[in-house]
Amino acid sequence: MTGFLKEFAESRMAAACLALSLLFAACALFAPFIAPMNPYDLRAFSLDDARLPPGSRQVEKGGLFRATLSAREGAAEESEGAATFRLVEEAPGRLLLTVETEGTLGALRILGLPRDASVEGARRHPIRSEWTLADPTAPAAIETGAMTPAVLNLTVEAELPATATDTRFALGTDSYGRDMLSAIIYGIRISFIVGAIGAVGSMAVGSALGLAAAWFGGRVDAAIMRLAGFQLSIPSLMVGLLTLTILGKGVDKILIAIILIQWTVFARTTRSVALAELRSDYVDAARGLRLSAVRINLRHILPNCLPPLLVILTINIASAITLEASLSFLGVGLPLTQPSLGMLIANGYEYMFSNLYWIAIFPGIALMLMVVSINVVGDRLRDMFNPQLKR
Amino acid sequence: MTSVPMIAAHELSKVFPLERGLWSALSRKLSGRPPRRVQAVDRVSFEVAPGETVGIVGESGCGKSTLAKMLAGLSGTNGGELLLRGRPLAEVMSDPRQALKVQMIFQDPQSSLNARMKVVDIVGEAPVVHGLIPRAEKEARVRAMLERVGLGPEALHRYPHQFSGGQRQRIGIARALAVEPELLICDESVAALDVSVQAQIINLLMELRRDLGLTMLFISHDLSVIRHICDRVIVMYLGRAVEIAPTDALFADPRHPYTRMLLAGMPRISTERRAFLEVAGEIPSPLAPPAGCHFHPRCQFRTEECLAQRPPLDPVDARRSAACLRWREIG
Repeated sequence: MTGFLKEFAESRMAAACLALSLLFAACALFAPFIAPMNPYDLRAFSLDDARLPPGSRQVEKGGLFRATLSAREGAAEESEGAATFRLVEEAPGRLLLTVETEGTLGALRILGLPRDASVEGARRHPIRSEWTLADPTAPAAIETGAMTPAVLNLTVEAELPATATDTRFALGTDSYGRDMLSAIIYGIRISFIVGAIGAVGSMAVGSALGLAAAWFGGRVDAAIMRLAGFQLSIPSLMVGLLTLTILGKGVDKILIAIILIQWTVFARTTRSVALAELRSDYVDAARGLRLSAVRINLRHILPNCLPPLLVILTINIASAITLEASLSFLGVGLPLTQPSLGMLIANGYEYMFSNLYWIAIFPGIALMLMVVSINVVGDRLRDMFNPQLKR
Repeated sequence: MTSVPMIAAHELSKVFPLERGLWSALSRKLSGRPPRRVQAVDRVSFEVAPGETVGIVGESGCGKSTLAKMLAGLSGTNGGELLLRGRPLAEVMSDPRQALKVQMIFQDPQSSLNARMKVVDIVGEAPVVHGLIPRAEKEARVRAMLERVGLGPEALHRYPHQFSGGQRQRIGIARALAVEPELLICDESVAALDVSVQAQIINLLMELRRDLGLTMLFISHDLSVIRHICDRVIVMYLGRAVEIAPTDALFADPRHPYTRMLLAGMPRISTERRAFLEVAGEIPSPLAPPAGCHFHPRCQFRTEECLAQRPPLDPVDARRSAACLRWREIG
């Protein structure tokens, strides 16, 4: 094993890529412990942080004081925590609201006013009766028409100004205010797991069919290999699109699509290696010992086919990740609740031309690094298992 | 041969088609030419008594290995009858316990052992799978088998590549012995080994035959090995048995010209001078064997008759027979 690693590391590039691949694998396994924030936890992020550039600080909302006032003859007073709300009649039909708190206010809103009332220097919510004052520090003047009503009910929300925290978004935030770094780490988790399970599943299905083709020969062989040849003549993305259009979105569906696409490579390789193995005397010996066909295939032939299969497996993990990313980018892959790297790129793509580069570029770089490093590892393994390339 | 013979082969044949698939079938239909095929084994008949060691000798391509595979049930027959202890081969092979009574020892010790299995699994797998021994006794059984073939218990947990060729052949023998066979078919089992190792393996096989009462079929192209180990010899040429005789009689007084040719080509230490019989031509292609007696193009005794007629396997005396029209004149 150490000899194997030593030989592997003769290529510095391959060693670096192996380290990088292992890092990505660690990201996939330990995402919840590595990521600074849980992008699935709706309480953890806020729209206030949306679309912040890399390196921005997270904003923390100020304290909110909320009180319901019932003004009789235009006068009322209410206390809520450290804030005191006071309403006085300045003139008929004109009430003045003052809020006393420690420090200055960041925002002031008045809710629940009657339809004909208005607030001076404030903006009304397009649907609700909610008035937001332009200058929250000055007293607010409420106009109620010609005269002050006998009873006026209203709700006041006073908010202290937001403060910047020490938490920084290293790679910025997306349009929902999620930390991009965390989203990428969770995206790697989903992409890597889908890619790995997809490729391993393809290997299981493909090598089983390849073994069957080699063992039975004749019509079984012809049928399986013609099917594989037919499928290889269709672009893999087309097969994926078609499958997912029929089956719908979901992790299980995309795994089915990946297996449908990738089994061919495994089946062809397994068949060719198994055909060579079948000529070996140990297979005749096993048949002479009356072992079952299943046992001979799985215990005797398959282990001897493994080296080339493991090389293909590595390369196919990378290709499955790319495939999943492409399908998710096109919107037929994973559901929105499972944001993979492809979907992050798709989300960020909308903002590319508004100069919000970080939402798409960083997941793209992560995807590229992951796919390239796994591919380099696969290539190195292939070189090592190819005796003709051995020096 | 009073008891039921271990093997009774009657007119046993094996044909390999050379053309397969829809396309060649179609073109054959259209052109009307007969399908091309190789008659690897051509109506061979013989019997082997229990406890006997019979050698099958011949040049490469004469059908020895095909015959061996048919006898071991690894390859089907195309015509003829094959009885094992008086029961048809197919019937024997359908019962795993009975089928295990026939085991093969292969030529290439490299490819006959699965490189990815440990010795304990290579030898112990089949007895456990077939319920001959409980799983818990696997190691003990393998250790006993290894001891039988002269290997120590340290071999148990090693892989085949950690052994020499001779040791690997011993492991192959242990694997066959582990399922308690009655008939051992050795297909060129010592051909790939050094001469000194050959002798060790042959001695081991003779010892096992004596201790376990095995019946053996020993296939080889090496006459000196055959002479050393066999009671009787079957000489094959291009798929046919040309002479069947007890070893002593065969080597002393060969009756078929091909046997004479083989014996004359055999190096001997005792003789000063090695005299070769003149051999005309190469061994013919099995794709287009000569008509009549297959050996006639190379035979110095041939007549017109030999070109037209397949010579029957004539009994020379009670224990030997030869397939030559002129066996009376030869020898």
